[in-house]
Amino acid sequence: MTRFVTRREFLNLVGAVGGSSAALRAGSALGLLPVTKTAKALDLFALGTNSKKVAILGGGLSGLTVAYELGKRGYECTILEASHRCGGRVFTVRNGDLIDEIGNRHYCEFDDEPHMYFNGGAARIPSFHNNLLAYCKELDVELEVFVGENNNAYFQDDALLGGKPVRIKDYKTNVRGFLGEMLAKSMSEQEMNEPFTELEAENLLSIIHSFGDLREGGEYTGSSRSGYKTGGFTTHGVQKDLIEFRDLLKSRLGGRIMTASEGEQGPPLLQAKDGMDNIIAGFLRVVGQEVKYRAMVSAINVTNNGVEITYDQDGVRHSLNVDYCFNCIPTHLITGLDHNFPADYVKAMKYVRRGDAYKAAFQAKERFWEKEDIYGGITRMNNRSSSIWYPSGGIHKNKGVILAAYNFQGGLYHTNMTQEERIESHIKDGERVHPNYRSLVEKPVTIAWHRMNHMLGCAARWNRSRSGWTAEEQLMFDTLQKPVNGRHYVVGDQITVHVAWMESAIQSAHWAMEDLDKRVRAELA
Amino acid sequence: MLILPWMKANAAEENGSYDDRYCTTCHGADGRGNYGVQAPRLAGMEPWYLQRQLENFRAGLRGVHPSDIEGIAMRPMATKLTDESIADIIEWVGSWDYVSTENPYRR
Repeated sequence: MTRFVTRREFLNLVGAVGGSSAALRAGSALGLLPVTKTAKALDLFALGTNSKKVAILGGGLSGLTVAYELGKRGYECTILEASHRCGGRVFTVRNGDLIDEIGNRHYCEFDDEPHMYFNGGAARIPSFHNNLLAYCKELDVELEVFVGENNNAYFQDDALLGGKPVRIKDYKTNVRGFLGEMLAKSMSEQEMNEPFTELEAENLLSIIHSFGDLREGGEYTGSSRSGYKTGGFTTHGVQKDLIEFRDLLKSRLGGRIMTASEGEQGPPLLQAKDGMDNIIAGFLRVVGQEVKYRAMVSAINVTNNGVEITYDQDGVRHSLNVDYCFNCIPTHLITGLDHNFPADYVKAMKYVRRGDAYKAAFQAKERFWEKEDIYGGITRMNNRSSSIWYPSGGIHKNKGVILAAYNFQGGLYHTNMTQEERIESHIKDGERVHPNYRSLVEKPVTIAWHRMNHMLGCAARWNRSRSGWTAEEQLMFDTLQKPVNGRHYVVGDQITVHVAWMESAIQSAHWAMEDLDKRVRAELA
Repeated sequence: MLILPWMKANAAEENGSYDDRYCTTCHGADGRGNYGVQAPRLAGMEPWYLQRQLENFRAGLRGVHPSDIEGIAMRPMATKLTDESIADIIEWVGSWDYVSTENPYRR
């Protein structure tokens, strides 16, 4: 049986749970975002006439960072990359590119134009990821704004207004209006127990009124913030009808819609112009000649004096003896190599699980979203495809590439489908928002990270409980972060507590190189 | 974008014919097996047995039970294989000598 509560009862409920509704706290709350120090140049010892050899296993962002920085100090680096390309999960697909999913290898058939690309992995750079941004500047990688937040994009949920897509601005404006009205009425009707000054009370009311776009008296009767029904330029605007509060509350996704563009995914975001792998290309302009492609490591033997690597390339087994090894092979694949790592190190590698993020994209035959006032940004859907991303670049060109699905947590749902089933699923989901979707899109690509060759998974998952890291997990992390014999370092975003960001891969590499530097200085300086 | 030769493996190779010899990504170096992804050892197994398993995965006789997590992961890797590519894989994998999966702690 559904029990109804009145608004007043609801407010009392809020008060009972949260203490006085006007509980004021002094001081500022600390942000929850990881703090990135201002990027500083790494202070590493330059070898001069000394010689040191380094093997870098995997040409992802952490490995390239190591090659770039140690190369500057005179280390002789060799990068062994198992696949046909560098970049790892910094992966941009364009015309002719191979998507090397085991069991579903396919090629990208987008038109061959600079703006026709899809970032199948890393796609956003928060403006406080300073080390990454510093490398972009240093390596001449052109950046542009990534439009993530677009209030003209849609929110679609079958539970909401009969499944009719709602502009995000309409959803947000109306929710804020009703929340504001509730707050304003609680301010005016409830006795103030807390010692507000008159000015504080006045300012708070002003914030509430402004938050909800309320009328005098604290009432919400609709707002022009989400635009007019008609007119507004040469004729007076006619206000849209408000969406009733009860209708807004039908969707379980409301909270996500209200905050989707906040925190690390909040504006301003950046991206590399013409594809995120231009960051990789920037590093390769400096260290590209040190890369051996399709060179698959088969054994790692750490000795007292260095590391012996064995790898296969072109059907031939090679060996490479080095002083130091930086290894960004995914931990769950390192365990399949012939190695002599200590038991606690191996235990940690075996413990780490992998995410199963999944993305898909279509080439659009025309930029149909621009006809609906949408330029960049993200439509959010309460279905398995979850999102449609409209491109930030290529505005007003004939065609564009859109993200058709992004399932970060539950990617195995699509991963376990055939390519045909995946595509049909994204078309059906997209039709809920854009009725002619099926006829407007073509040339799909799908990126199922759980099955990508040489990676077999997305970001590392260290902690298995929602309540955070256990002491045992922290111990395993600390073990794997430290080098074996001072010679072998595991790097990558997998050796951070903030996986799945490029900045994390870089900071992991920096941590390892600074640790190495202490040892090298002790020996040579 | 200007593609310089060292920025990728040979482009012709990327678009050329591509075999299905993927096994070592999951099953470890030399097919020793990988406990990190619960992939069994292939090295030293009889060719007829390996072929039977690939055919069973392809036909949906293996890798379909809901509690067989690893089998479900394996199945799609086999569904697209042709008889010819199974023969090619078996010629490759079936010739591997036995190597042990777990490495003893040797330091």
